[in-house]
Amino acid sequence: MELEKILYEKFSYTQFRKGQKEIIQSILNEKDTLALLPTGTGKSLCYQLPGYLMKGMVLIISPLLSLMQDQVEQMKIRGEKRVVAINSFLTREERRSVLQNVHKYKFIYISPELIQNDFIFKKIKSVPVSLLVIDEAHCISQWGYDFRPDYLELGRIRRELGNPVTLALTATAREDVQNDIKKFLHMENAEEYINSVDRPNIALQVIKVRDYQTKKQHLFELVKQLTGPGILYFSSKKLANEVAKELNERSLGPAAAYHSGIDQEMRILLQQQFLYDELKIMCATSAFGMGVNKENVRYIIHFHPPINLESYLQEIGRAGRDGEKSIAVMLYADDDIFLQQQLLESEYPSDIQIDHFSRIQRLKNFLNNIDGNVPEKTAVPEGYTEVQWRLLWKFYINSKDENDFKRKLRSFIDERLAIKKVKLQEITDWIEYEGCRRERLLMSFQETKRERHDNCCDNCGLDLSCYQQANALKKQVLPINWRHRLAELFSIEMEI
Amino acid sequence: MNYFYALILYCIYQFKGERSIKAVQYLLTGKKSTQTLQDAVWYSLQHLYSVYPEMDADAFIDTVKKLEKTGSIVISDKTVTLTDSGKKVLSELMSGYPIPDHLNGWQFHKIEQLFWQRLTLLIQILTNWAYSETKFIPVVRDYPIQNWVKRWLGEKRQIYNKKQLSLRLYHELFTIFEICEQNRENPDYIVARFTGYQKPGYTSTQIAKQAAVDETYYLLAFRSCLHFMIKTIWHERGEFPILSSLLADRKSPWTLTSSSWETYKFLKYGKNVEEIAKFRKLKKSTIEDHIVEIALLDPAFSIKTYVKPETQKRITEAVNLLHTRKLKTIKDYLTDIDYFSIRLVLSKMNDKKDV
Repeated sequence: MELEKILYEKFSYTQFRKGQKEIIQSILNEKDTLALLPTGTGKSLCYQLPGYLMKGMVLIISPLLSLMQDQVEQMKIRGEKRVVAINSFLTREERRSVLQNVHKYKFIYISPELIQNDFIFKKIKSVPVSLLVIDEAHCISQWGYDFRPDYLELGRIRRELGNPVTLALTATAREDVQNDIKKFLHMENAEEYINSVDRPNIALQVIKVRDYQTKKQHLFELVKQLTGPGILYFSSKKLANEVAKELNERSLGPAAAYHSGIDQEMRILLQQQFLYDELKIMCATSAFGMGVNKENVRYIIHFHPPINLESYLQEIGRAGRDGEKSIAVMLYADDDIFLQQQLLESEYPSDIQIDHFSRIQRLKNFLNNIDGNVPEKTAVPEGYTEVQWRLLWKFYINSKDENDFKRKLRSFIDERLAIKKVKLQEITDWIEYEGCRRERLLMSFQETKRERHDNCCDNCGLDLSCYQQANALKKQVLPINWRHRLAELFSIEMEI
Repeated sequence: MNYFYALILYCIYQFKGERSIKAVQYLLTGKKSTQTLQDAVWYSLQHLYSVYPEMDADAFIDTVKKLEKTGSIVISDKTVTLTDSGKKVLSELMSGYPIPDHLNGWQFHKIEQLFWQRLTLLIQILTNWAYSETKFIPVVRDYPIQNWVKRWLGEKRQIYNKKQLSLRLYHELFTIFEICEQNRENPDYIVARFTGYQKPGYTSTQIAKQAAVDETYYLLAFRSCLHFMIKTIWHERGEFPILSSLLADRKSPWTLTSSSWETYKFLKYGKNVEEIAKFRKLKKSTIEDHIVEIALLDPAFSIKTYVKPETQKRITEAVNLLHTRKLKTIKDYLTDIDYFSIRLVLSKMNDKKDV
């Protein structure tokens, strides 16, 4: 059969992107596969397409709820109905119905913690799994920038599923991480497809500034000059809001803030506006992904640097998916390092949160002892992030008592912070580096730069003129008139 | 204009210095507790119950602090009072922008979201169909809503073709928006948020900016128009067959907490408070809370069984004489009457405002 035919029928693409076909073929040859594909090059296609040629189910382990939701949404839009994400967004009823009809689904997304739930796992095991996909596989390694202890259970899960063909996917993994992936998933003989993390069409630039005020000036100057659409990354929602507002006031927009503080309906509207180029600039927080495949993002500006190079690659990877020339600019002030350190620590539960959590559990246990309930994980409450909450529970459930819980969790956090600090140093060194940035970036991922091209990075020399806008047409925003808009929406001819 | 200030000051004014600042927050975000429901009814604030669920708790605290600092309000241990200068600020803020007329959170907060989501998704689907487009990102991600609209479309498609359906919806919307306009509601606020074929709707921030109003005001005006639509559609089903069928599965706009429902069922079987408490293994005071909640929410529920007419009369007179809704003050005056009776009577004293 022809892969291209399915590619067109199911995905409406006429050709594969670099790297995809080999991976798909390896899966179809029933080989366990470890694949590295840079962000923005179509990772999900690598398991979705073979799914159509395999008999059983494709089970995808994915770490973040928002990512899962986006994937499912995209597949449904494409017309695939046999897809579902089993997570806390489902009501109790829905979850029951999904599990009862588990054989009706072709693609099931699930989090690494939920797959460990005995009841759910039993249900899933009752259906033959043809392909097991471990997305963001670097999470299995404690050398990775995003280690998640739940991933360590996936080796056992795989065995209990009868060792189905397995695809471990990630955008970035150095050799030690790659080895960990193979080791913990028991797939030592996996075929490996390691693609370069390089995105040659994205130019790299770092602008060092004195302080916050100058940074802002630079930002506005850049936005004025660069051709959009663009994404600006901030470390706080508040700042994202402020800058979006100011950009609009200065008529540099249309811009909007996009982060977890914006309600879901508004977020969908903003995504759509961005997709249709009605919005020119998104002011986003790095913690928040965007559920839209926008091909023509021309620039990324980091108002604050991320805390490691992996995240940096991920974020700049949203630019230039269409292969056209794009640029990633990082604004950096010396005291940003303090902010980064703070960010780094806030990923994990703080001492105050750990105490607060223990107190609540103590109270709950007291109440539960009366009616003999087992502690049950609840939805993420205000004041905690998804990651913090999961970690607290993970350690809480696996501890003898409160002291044991606190000690184990704190020592885990200390260990993680030590590794994260090394990562932070790495990106700081990269920022300070005076040679070719691309070469240095690739070196961090144990690659060597292959070819030289124009507009590589600021240290190699950049011709900024090709990113600057020719007198862009400013879209006139008309005042809202419901009669007109309603007629327009319903394609009704209006008499004037 | 900062309408958030106005909204908070207005609630404090209505609370007559008898409630805490938390009570304001609970009221606006629609906390489902007997206390908050009581507050809404006793202090004539039903229309503002749950009209600002998207309120940010931190922003609320910041705003309250600012109001305190500028001397508009005085916060003591348990209560918050509006000062004279606060009253002035309030009337200035509200001049030209009174609280939108048809806002009725008490009655519609439960169904407004449902109605809005079904409507906006339906419009997106129909207008995409007009361009033979079936692949698009739904503006509503909630699966029960998506499934409901799909089923609804399936039923309607047996009667109308796509074009007829779309045209009928357009005409109903056009008619209702004209009625809205005649009743001082602004349909722009609703229509700007609709999403169509390759035309994403605008967010509340964007619409407020364009209309040059404060975002809080926009949100209230949006809800007011929506509430007015729901009310009109509800009363004139015959005129709006398509729109009213979006709410056909809703019987009553008010809902009790599930525990109160349970108690209500026992009451209907003729059980008394003690019996229910014993059977449900709950405290007597909890059952009494349930009954107060039922009295607040169900206009058809009579309190006669619990409070004799002459006692009711004495309590009503005391409330009018003392000019307060404060339980303690009323109880001190009527030493021989229990709290439960007073609460029940207070819950029914506002019936006129209920619908």
